Amino acid sequence: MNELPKMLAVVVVRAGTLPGGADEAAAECSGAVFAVGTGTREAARSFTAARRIWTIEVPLVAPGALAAALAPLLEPVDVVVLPASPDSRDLAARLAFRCERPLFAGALRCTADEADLSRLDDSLEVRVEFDEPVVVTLIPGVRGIPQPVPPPDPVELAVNLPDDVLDAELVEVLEPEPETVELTEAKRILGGGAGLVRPGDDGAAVMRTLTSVAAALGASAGATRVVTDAGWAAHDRQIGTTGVVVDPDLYVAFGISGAAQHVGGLGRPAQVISVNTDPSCPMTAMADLGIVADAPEVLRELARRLNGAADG
Amino acid sequence: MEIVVALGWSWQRVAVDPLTGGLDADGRDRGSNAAEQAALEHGLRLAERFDGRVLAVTVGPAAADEVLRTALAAGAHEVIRVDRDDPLAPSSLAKNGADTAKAIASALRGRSPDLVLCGDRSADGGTGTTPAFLAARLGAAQALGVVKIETEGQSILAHRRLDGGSREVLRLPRPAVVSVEAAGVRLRRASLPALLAAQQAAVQVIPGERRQPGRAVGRPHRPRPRELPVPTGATAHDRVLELTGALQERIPPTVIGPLSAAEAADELLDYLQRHGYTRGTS
Amino acid sequence: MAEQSDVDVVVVGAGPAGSAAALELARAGCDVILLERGPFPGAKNVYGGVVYGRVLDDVLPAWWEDVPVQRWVTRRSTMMMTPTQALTVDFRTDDWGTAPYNGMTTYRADFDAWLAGKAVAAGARLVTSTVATELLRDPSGRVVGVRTDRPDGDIRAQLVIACDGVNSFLAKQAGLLPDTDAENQTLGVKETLALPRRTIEERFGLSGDEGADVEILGCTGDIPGGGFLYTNRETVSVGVVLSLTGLAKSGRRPEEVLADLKAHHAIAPYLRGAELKEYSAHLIPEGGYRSMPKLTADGLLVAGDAAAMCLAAGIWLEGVNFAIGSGLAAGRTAAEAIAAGEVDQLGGYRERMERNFVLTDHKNLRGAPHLVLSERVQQRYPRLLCDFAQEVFTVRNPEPKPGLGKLFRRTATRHGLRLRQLAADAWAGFRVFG
Ligand SMILES: Cc1cc2nc3c(=O)[nH]c(=O)nc-3n(C[C@H](O)[C@H](O)[C@H](O)COP(=O)(O)OP(=O)(O)OC[C@H]3O[C@@H](n4cnc5c(N)ncnc54)[C@H](O)[C@@H]3O)c2cc1C
Ligand SMILES: Cc1cc2nc3c(=O)[nH]c(=O)nc-3n(C[C@H](O)[C@H](O)[C@H](O)COP(=O)(O)OP(=O)(O)OC[C@H]3O[C@@H](n4cnc5c(N)ncnc54)[C@H](O)[C@@H]3O)c2cc1C
Ligand SMILES: Nc1ncnc2c1ncn2[C@@H]1O[C@H](COP(=O)(O)O)[C@@H](O)[C@H]1O
Repeated sequence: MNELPKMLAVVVVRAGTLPGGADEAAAECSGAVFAVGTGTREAARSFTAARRIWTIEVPLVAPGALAAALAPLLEPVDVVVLPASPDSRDLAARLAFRCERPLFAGALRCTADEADLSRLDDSLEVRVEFDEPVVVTLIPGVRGIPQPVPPPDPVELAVNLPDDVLDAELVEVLEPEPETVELTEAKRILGGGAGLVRPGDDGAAVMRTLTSVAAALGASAGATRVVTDAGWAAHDRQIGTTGVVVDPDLYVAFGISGAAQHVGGLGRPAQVISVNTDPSCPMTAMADLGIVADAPEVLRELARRLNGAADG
Repeated sequence: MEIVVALGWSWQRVAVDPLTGGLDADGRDRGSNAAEQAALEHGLRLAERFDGRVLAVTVGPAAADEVLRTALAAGAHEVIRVDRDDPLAPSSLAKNGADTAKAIASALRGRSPDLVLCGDRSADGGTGTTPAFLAARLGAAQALGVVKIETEGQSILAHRRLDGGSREVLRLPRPAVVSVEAAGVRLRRASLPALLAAQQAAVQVIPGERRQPGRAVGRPHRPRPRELPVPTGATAHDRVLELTGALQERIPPTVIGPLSAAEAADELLDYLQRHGYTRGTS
Repeated sequence: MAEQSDVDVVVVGAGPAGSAAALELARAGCDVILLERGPFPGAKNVYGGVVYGRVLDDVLPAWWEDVPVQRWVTRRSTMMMTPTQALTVDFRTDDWGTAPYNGMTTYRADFDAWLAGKAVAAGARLVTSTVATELLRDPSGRVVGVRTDRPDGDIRAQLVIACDGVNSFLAKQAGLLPDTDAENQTLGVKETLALPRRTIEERFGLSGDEGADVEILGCTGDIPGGGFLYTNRETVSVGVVLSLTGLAKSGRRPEEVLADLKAHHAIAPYLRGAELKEYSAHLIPEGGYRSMPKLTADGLLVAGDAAAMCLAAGIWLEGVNFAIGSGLAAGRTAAEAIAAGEVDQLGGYRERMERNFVLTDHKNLRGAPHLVLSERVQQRYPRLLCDFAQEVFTVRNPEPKPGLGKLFRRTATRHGLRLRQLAADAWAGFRVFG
């Protein structure tokens, strides 16, 4: 145990599956990673950026108890990095509290001495320097993954989950709804963002138009969180780090700014098209084809051409 | 049942100068966001269902009384403000929710809430960490990023998102801290008499600790260059080609416009055609 | 009073008129509710940008010390333009740059919230995010309160003051305003553009908190109207005001007209590199005195734009001060009527305004809207004056300079204007404005 590095990734695993951003967190820590949770041995085999893996198998993923069990182990580690996925986000604050360290959530980059945090929907980057041991969460999809390396043999560690820490009782895990599956497996996706709905317009109707245009192109429709929060599309349509993680070949973004939390769920599409009035927004900057135009109008035009009618 | 709802007092829209990273916001545009209002609505419904009481708490300056009065008007039974004002500065935005959780907990001293409801995240760069810190501090169970709350007999079930579109259903013990997304529910509209009464109500204020202004420097966001796999070609020549993509057929990224809707549709469809995304299902 | 009232007065709309009325009432000790549909007063209110504060001197002494000002107007220009020319009369005075000041640029979100804050400090109860949806009446038809869009949202009051702005829904319900009134309304569209403070000061020749106000004639093509350009601290507002009927006839979109003004060579250099912050549009009641509705009904007073109190007469576009003036008068009248227990005696409202600037100015300038929007003032005079200036200043050596009188007659004839007509308009203008 005394050979733990100064920077270490902690990844929460469920039933042998790695969460989004697991390899990126590992890569940020030069490949040193704790895989914690259920099915950790199996999950350890799917890392591509890990060079040293410790597995910690527990009967169930419960953030309060896990934090209590892990805290003493992490004492020698200066910088603990977790991917900002749902389970790791749960654990990060509990760990920070247990270890009496500050938490820097939502980082784009992290070194042994400092982190750049993404704030204000990705328009601001805040650099913080570390003057004490810290916990950091890293936004998935931002860093990229290096050349894959075969996973090393994991070192198994054992912990005892305390029974005096209160956690919620797991009733069941609901499999993704068919809708969601359809989106995660879609090879072509048309995404709608805040810029697709004009103030005062019926957003739900606009999203229905997007769905029908998508259908005409053999694609599925997705959305940003702004759109799903507004209730214009169901929450299972939300693409991003806190929504559905997809991996299409083609992504066409309508009125989407390209925030890290959205792009983090996009996989690596071969072709990206962005229709946006702002030629310098991140989505257009990363697109193969950036079209500077009014997205609502363009969608209406596409609906007219492809479906013969505009119902938006 | 004792229910606490934590309502934030954050800037709802902050403009960032794309050159300097300077921050600008309208002070009147502060308040609680849709997720926090959804938390309040959930709290009010559960209080009706379980014959409970709702205490609304905010950590903010005097102006934040406004969100508490809104809560009273909507049906909260009691409100407390922890007096603290955070400047709009990179160091406050870098915040982790630990301080705020501590402040909220200070308002709950001497009480034993069964359920604390929070928003999933606050508007001004919040990261949704406050609720987890609060759970840790209160020794409570947690359920974060909840999209649906149900009751089953005497127990409360929370549905929350996991990776990849699956969800987990949690049965909440007491005490529990829940953070909810803005999904599904909207805060009820207060009646006029309740609104007028809330204007006159006294808000209990307790002093809060000033936050340490941490060292933090803000600048406009620039995308991080993504790391790429090392080229695998056998010869240096191959590796250079692989890295630069010189012989790959690839259209260089282009930005065109401003275009009219018709021109834009032409360009888009033409591009899809050229790249083989013609009509038909994949 | 057959039924019990919840409050003495309910004022609908927390624009300048409503807040002024509520302020007067609260100060007189009345229980008053001020209803506003926006999340805060001024949240969505639109105007050009200049407020003349003299009307506040009596009510809020030294108001300039805490009013949320952008710049104090010390420079006022009137510009006449054709598509390729511009002739400007430019006036500046240091006097307007020191207390008690003359005009200021201010944002409505700031100004309206400030004025409403004064009413609240005086004891008025402000209720935001609440829309008045209907007048409540007793069997005799007397207005006894308003219904709002909130649950249990009826408010019964001894008097209602409608300050709900142009096209007042309440004044229409009371039968005081016709349902449509396009003839007497103009559409104002405006852009707020961001520029660095230093740039604004250099381009407009200003220093410190000085501001400029440019009123423009002849910039709206064949649509009757006018334009304006105002400086704020770090933004400028540029806009056009367009006759609704003219706009409809022209088939053009208001944004196009504004885009043309912004591209004009006399305007574009002021705006170069500016970043668009906001686009907004709003109606203006421009009919003036002749189009004013009856100002009271049984239990109801109407003030501000709701009563067409905006003074829009070419080189003047003053609505806020008239709204405040009429609001104060309505509030005071209502307070007196309630104190005297004679809520049916509302005649003092009109009398009060006939004695002060509100109706005096309107009466004196009653011909102005018609004249200013006439084809000659809109089209021919700007062209005539610009051409004349060009003739005067074009040097044609070796030809000698022509006499000015001859030049003027020649230019006038070229524009198809006979001197008799000119004289008649000059006389009309003198009578309207003199
Ligand atoms: C912890 C956390 C988790 C998050 N998880 C997710 C997630 O999973 N998924 C997600 O999507 N977001 C997520 N977000 C939110 C994310 O940060 C952004 O706020 C969101 O993705 C922005 O959505 P948007 O692009 O639709 O809206 P905006 O950022 O508001 O962008 C709108 C865009 O539309 C353009 N536009 C405006 N008008 C027009 C027009 N007429 N024509 C064309 N273009 C126009 C604008 O130029 C702009 O680029 C998360 C945030 C946090 C803090
Ligand atoms: C483009 C443009 C430029 C202008 N430029 C100037 C200028 O430079 N200087 C100047 O002095 N004037 C100017 N004016 C005129 C000026 O804006 C108006 O005359 C003035 O705002 C009238 O004030 P008011 O209080 O009567 O109405 P408003 O300012 O319109 O206020 C009405 C209020 O009532 C509220 N309301 C409406 N209906 C309801 C309801 N049913 N329930 C509850 N609340 C309701 C509204 O939200 C609003 O707050 C301009 C106008 C325009 C459109
Ligand atoms: N200042 C505050 N006062 C009360 N509750 C807060 C405050 N800040 C955050 N919260 C609560 O914590 C949730 C998550 O906020 P954050 O951790 O800032 O993203 C919010 O939605 C609120 O419910």
